[in-house]
Amino acid sequence: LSVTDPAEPVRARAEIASAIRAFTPAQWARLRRVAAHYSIGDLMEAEDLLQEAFRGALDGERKCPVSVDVVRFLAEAMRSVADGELKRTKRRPALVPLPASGDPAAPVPEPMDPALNAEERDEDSRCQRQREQIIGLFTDDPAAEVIVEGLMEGMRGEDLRALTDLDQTAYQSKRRLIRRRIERFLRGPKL
Amino acid sequence: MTGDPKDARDALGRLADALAEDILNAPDEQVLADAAEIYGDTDKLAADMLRLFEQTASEQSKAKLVAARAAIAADRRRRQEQPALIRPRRGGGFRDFFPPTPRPRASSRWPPARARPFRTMTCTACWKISRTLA
Repeated sequence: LSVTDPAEPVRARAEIASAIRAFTPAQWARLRRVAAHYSIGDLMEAEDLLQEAFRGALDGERKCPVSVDVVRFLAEAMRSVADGELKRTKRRPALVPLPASGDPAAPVPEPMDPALNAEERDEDSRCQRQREQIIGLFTDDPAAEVIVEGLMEGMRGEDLRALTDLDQTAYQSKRRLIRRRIERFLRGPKL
Repeated sequence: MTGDPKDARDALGRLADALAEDILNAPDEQVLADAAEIYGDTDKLAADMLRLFEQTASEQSKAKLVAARAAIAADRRRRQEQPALIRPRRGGGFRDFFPPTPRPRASSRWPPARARPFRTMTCTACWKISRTLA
C-alpha cells in the first residue's frame, strides 16, 4: 500500500467526508474487513483503528491524493496507525553523542536497560501467542498453513503459490479461505 | 518459524499487509459475501460504520470548538495582562487611535474664541458699536 506523493493535488477534507458518507455497503464492508486484519497483534481494536483513520482524514493530518480511492486511503491510514502500534515499543539501542576526545569531564551516558519492562513483555507475549494461534487455525489444511507461514515470512506471488503446488484458481480460493478464517478469529464482539 | 517475539510482531504485520491488500483488490461481490458470512447483515454493518464515522466527526467538531474557545480565552487573558498604550473605551472607535485635538482656551483677544457667528462676520467698528449697545 502506498498512496503518498507530495507533488500530487489532494482532496479537501469536506470532499473526503462527503465521499465517506456516500460509501456503498461493499465499500464499508471492505473497510471493516481491512480494519479487522490490521487489528492483528491485539494491540488495537478494529473500531479504534477506523476512528483514528477517520480522525486523521477529517482534521487534515493525513492527505488523500485525488487519484487515490478513499477506501484505499483510509486503509493506508489504518496500516500506518497499526504499524506505529506494532513498532511503538520495539526496542532499539539508544543513540548517544560521542564525548569529545580529551574531555575527561564529559558525562558518560547511562546504558539502556536491555531487560523488557512489564508492558513490553506483555505486548511481546501477546504477539507471539497470536502468531501461534493463527498458524494453529490451519492445522487441518497443510497448504493453507504453508501459505500463512509464507506470508508471515514476507513471501508473495508466484513463489508462494509454487510452494503449495496449487493451480492459480485453487491458490486464490485458499487465500480467500485464509482471509475469512483469520478474520473470524480476529473479529471483536462489537460491530 | 522462530520463536522470537520481535519476529512475531513483524510476521503479524506482514500477514496483515498481504491480507488487507487482497481485500482491497477483491471484487465487490466477494467482499460482500465474505462480510455477510462473518458479520451478518451487510446493510446493518454499513449503517454501524456510518454511525461510527459520524460520531468521530461530531467528537472532532466539539474538540475544535473547545480548542477555539480556549484560544480566545487565552488571547483575552494575554491582552489584559499587557500594559495598554491606548486604553480602549467602551464602544470606542477611531477616536481611541486619533484622540481629538484639544481646543484653544477662550480669551478676550480678537477674534473671541466663543464668538457668535454673526459677530465674527462683522468688522471692528461694528463690534464696538454692538458692545456699546449691549
